[in-house]
Amino acid sequence: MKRCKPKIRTVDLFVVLFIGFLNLTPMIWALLTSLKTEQDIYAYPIKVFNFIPTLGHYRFILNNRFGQAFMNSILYSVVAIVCSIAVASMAGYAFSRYKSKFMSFLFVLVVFGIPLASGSNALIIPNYIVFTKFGIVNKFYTLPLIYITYNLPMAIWIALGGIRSIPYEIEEAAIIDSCSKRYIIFNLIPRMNKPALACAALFVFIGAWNEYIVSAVLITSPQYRAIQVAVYDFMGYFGFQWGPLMAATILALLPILVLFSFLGRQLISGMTAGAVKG
Amino acid sequence: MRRNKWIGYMLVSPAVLLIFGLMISPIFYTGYISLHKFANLQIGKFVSFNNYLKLLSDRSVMNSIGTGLEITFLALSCAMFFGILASLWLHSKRGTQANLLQLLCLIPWFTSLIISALNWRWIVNTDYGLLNSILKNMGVPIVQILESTALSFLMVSFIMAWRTTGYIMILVLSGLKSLSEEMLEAAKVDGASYLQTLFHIKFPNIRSQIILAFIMITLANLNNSTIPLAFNNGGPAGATTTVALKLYTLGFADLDFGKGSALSVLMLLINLLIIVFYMRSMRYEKV
Repeated sequence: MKRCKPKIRTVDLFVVLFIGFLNLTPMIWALLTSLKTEQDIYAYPIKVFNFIPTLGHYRFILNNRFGQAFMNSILYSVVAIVCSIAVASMAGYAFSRYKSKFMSFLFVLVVFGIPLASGSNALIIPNYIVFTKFGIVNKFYTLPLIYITYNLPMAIWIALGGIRSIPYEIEEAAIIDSCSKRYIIFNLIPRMNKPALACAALFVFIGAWNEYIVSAVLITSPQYRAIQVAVYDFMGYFGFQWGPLMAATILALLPILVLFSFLGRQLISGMTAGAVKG
Repeated sequence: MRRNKWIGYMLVSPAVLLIFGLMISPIFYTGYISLHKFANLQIGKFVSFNNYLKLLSDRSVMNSIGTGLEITFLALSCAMFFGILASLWLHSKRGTQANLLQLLCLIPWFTSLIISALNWRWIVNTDYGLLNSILKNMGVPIVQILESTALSFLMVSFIMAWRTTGYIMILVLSGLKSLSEEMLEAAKVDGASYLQTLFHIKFPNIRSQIILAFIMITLANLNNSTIPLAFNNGGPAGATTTVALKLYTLGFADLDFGKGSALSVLMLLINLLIIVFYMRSMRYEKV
């Protein structure tokens, strides 16, 4: 019997090693730094693995209200996910089932929102001015509101893609079985559309969790601070203390890495479906 | 039937209200403000295009526009080149191996801007960074990236290219996967070389994916204020102050909202131009 072992070419191996080195080094180096004592960090010659790991820096940042920012961001993200998925599911259903001139105008508005949100830096001054005018900066709902809005266009786009693949016959059958419209819209369709909605939820979470610039501008009181702002603030407060700073980046990266390792495939399919297919 | 229509409008209303209220209407409001004197968050008297004239006569703003465009396109062209290269390479891989490789390439895209910039900043730290420690060990003179204008500029471009290459790769790869096997087979039978297949069959057929990646990354890079801010605060000597970062500092460090809103309008117009291309390429996809 011939053994079907796939041949690994040396070129491939080099490419993989190169990409892995480039993409993982910042993260791994941050992890190693965060586990070192102050002396080990600034030691020469450099210590790569030959040090005794300590959790001192993690303890330090958690004593300095980092935990609160972490929890804030978790809460913000959960609220953003729940609200934007509900809104996107309804909107996606409406866009796929109700057709009119005005409806397609509204749809163009939504699609327009996708690139507008990815260039959201240009909106920081407009949003700051409007939010200040209405007195809604520095509130517990400020950031969820922003996160929902910025991620909504993409969420609608993904939800719509899912709904379009659900055969209309199922809805007809439900009507014949005398299901109410309300049941169909709020129960049947979302349940059938679970994969797309889950994918949209993933993107909303990542968008909300990683947002920095708007969160920094709209929130000044420490109790509502988002996690990325808290990470950056460690630089300002203590000058350059690389140990705590790197510990903060590692903690802020943790949820993303967890999602990434368990739901990576969904992420990739969402990226291609969400960004390319019409 | 009429009733039905209203259900549809009711269902989209929350989404439309949010997007219109928080993303689109602020643009018009800022356009209005940019034509007025604006101090202490109070709208003053009408000054027509005075804010814009002040903006245009400000050397640092003009420089930042140049820097922003340079960094955007330097990072974009590098990421495009390596992204397409990686996608062609990955296209020949199958199964779990391919999936893991895709994930490996995508890690920087899902790392937040702040974390990416800070982690790289620590690596290139002049005295204690990993890069210089390795150089010292090899007996090579150390590089002072954070103190040098040219190297900081290159490094910010590098970080942007680093994080976007994976995204481009995934988009182009999805295009490559949608190519029909028969077409490639036919080309092979006709004796087309690898390069001929690449330039005459593969690239023309994945044009829309390449265009989309180009547009999205231009937009993302041009509006990226976080990486220059966290990497080196726009310095040294303003070498990495991109127009996006200038917008942020005008508004929230100088508190000059008159000029800031004028620059916002300018930025939004540039974005709008790019978005027009986006909308056209999306329509191209749908038909």
